[in-house]
Amino acid sequence: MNLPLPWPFEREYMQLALVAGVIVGASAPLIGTFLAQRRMALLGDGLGHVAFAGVAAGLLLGVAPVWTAMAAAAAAALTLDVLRSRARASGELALAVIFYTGIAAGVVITSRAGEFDASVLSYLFGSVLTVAPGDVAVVAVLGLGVVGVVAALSRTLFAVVLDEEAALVAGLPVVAANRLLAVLAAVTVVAAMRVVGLLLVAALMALPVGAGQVLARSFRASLVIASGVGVASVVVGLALARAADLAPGGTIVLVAAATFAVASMVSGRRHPRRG
Amino acid sequence: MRDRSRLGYVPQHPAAAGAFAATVEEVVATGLLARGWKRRLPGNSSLKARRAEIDHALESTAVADLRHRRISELSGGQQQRAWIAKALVHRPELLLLDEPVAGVDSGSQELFRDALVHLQSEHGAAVLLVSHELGAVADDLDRVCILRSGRMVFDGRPDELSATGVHLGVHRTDLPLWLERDGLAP
Repeated sequence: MNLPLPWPFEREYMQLALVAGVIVGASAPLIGTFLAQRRMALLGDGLGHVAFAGVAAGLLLGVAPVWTAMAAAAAAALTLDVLRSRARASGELALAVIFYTGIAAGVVITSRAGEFDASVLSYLFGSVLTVAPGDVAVVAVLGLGVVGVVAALSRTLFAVVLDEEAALVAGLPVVAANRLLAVLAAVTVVAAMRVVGLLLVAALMALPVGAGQVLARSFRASLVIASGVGVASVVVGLALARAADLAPGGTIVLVAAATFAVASMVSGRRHPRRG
Repeated sequence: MRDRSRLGYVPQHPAAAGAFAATVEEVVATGLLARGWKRRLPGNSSLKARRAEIDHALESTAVADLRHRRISELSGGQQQRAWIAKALVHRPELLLLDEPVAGVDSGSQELFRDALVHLQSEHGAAVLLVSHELGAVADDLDRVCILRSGRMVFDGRPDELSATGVHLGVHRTDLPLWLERDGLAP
């Protein structure tokens, strides 16, 4: 793949990074919007911790880390949803136990396998400039799958996160919707890990969402704005990273954080607090 | 009740009270997702008919002017009316209200009483509500049941309350009040 794109995307490796990044930038905030309403904006961060154990297991077993990371993150997300629905009081503690067990297991497994090297760091901090066409295909399948499911079921997911109790009374499939959201969050984490890394994955699921929440008046607009900010952060972040020779994952997240700060200031001027 | 579309429900503290970006109209439209609604009222499932149902619910609860406002920016009373519109949009036969006047000012309580009477006459739905604020709603109800420590201590018309010796407000923390309109069995 070598498309006639202008600088800084004229090289093939930048174009592959752009495609993978744009898909993740568009899809991660979609799931993040629903998680934010659940007050679980940091779920992606914890799932990234658990996915690290999956990556380590994959390296140890000689299996593609993307699939073992997916299995670990999905299992953790579903376990947390069960705990959330059955024992709300201990939800935060359950989060801490599962997440830190995950990252500790990852550290132990990688040290045992003698794999604590650059390949592990590429999953922790991202390595979007080294993605191969096969990696992009995996990201595309996962990311577009998330977008497709959200587009098809957005009204039901919206009703469930809006008020779970009312959704139950209305006969909506609340349990299935919650499980689906958990799995989609895990899929998003795995899709995004090569772009920004497992340690920063939650940023793309939270910062663009924050911008969408402060700028939009409607739920639909908040989804569109959040996805737009996610995509713009990736494009600008990649360009800045190439121009100034910066780490692309961190640069993308810093652009998203700056966008959120500007959006908050703009919103503050439009709607000043009374009193 | 097996057919959930015959039920409308307004929670005590709807989750949208936070900083959620959702308009009143978007929230009300989710009421049309109630299971069984399209089967019960098949003629109302077209896009045009759905819009008409949403308009009707917004107008009958006096929030039509607020339809494009973020629900989190509304006052407590306005939010409550928006949630009642959501509960009514699929034309339920029984409307369940959980503490409908808790935490709203006296002006909004007055508006709620007017809305209750209006809903009964226009929608014909029976209303079953639970409230600790009996004085704010009792005059407009057909039947009142009072539970104290899990035991029914009163079951009758609101105007019969004063003769029973049941003192309201003394046991606020352990006195859930079941108030009922339109002669449903408890």
